[in-house]
Amino acid sequence: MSTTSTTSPDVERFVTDVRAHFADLDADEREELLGGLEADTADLVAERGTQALGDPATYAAELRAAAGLPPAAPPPRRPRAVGASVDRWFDGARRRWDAVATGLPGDPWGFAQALRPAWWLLRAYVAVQLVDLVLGNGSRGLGLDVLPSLRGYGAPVLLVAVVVSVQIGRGRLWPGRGGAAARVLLLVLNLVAVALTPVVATSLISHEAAVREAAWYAPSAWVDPGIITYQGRRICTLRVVDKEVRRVEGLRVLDVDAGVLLPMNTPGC
Amino acid sequence: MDSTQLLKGVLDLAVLAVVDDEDGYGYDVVRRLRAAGLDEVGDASVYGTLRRLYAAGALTSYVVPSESGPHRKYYGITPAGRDQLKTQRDDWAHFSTTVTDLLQGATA
Repeated sequence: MSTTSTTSPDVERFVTDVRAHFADLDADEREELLGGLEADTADLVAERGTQALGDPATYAAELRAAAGLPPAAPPPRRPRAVGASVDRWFDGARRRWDAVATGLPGDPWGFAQALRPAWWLLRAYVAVQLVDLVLGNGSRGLGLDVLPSLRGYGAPVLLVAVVVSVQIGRGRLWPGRGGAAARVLLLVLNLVAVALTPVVATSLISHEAAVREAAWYAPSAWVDPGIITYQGRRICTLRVVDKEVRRVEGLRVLDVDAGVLLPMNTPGC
Repeated sequence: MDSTQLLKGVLDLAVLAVVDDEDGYGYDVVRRLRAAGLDEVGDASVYGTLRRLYAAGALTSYVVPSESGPHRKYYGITPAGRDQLKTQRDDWAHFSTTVTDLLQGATA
């Protein structure tokens, strides 16, 4: 019987943690002992869920004892005791969350998990916009564009940020996997992204509004200075009428400084 | 009585018997032991036992790659393993009969 198995980040982390308790063996011995453990653990999780994964240290001790090996020497990275308890706290929190979230009607947690890739994209976008706010457009008082400007490098920087964010999300890039410090860092970064998303959104909205206003007041800033445009369309004839739809005669159209008489009925129209 | 203590003494025998029946990979062996009624058997104990029996020459092993995930490591029994199984099976039969007789004598 062979159920197909793909490894989840939980399985990878567990196997990595167990593997750390066999550091005293050479590579061949370790492979002999731990080869296939990933597939076995993936099967276990597929059948009984992540809560079936126990404490990696206890598991490793049991494996060593059954394999006839002496107990492992204390791991060389002893100062990581804090890290281990942080890890345990995270694991416990995750297990408690899973216990609460699984079995809810309609599986809302499964739905939220399916949306994770969208979050990976959004956080990359928010991060690049924040950089733009601090170092690019924002620092020059210009507000944010929909596509981050970053002095012209917005598009490639955004692309790199998306790749990095997705790879972290998939656990393929530090700190998406690894020790307690990495997990704390990842949590903090995600919380920062969540907290600052409204800041970016507000800046985008206000900037968009400003652009639209500017398009009305000062079109000559970026189109042919001889032409008036409104919402992207050229205005050749400005017809102004009163309440009874009678044409108002003798009208003059001035620019925003009231200094220049704007051209109408130019030959280009 | 804590049956995990009893289990420790016969885990080699149980694992050999399961693998003798049909080759299997780690979790598969665990599953078959549990299906046979050894509910309290620990995954790590079984994996460690498989590795130790392999190192002792009682089992052979081969890797079966998987397209969708990590490879599986299968174990099969060797002639030496079969000899060991036979000896241990006889030992167990003798031992369990002795203990059963003793207990029946005690209650009689």
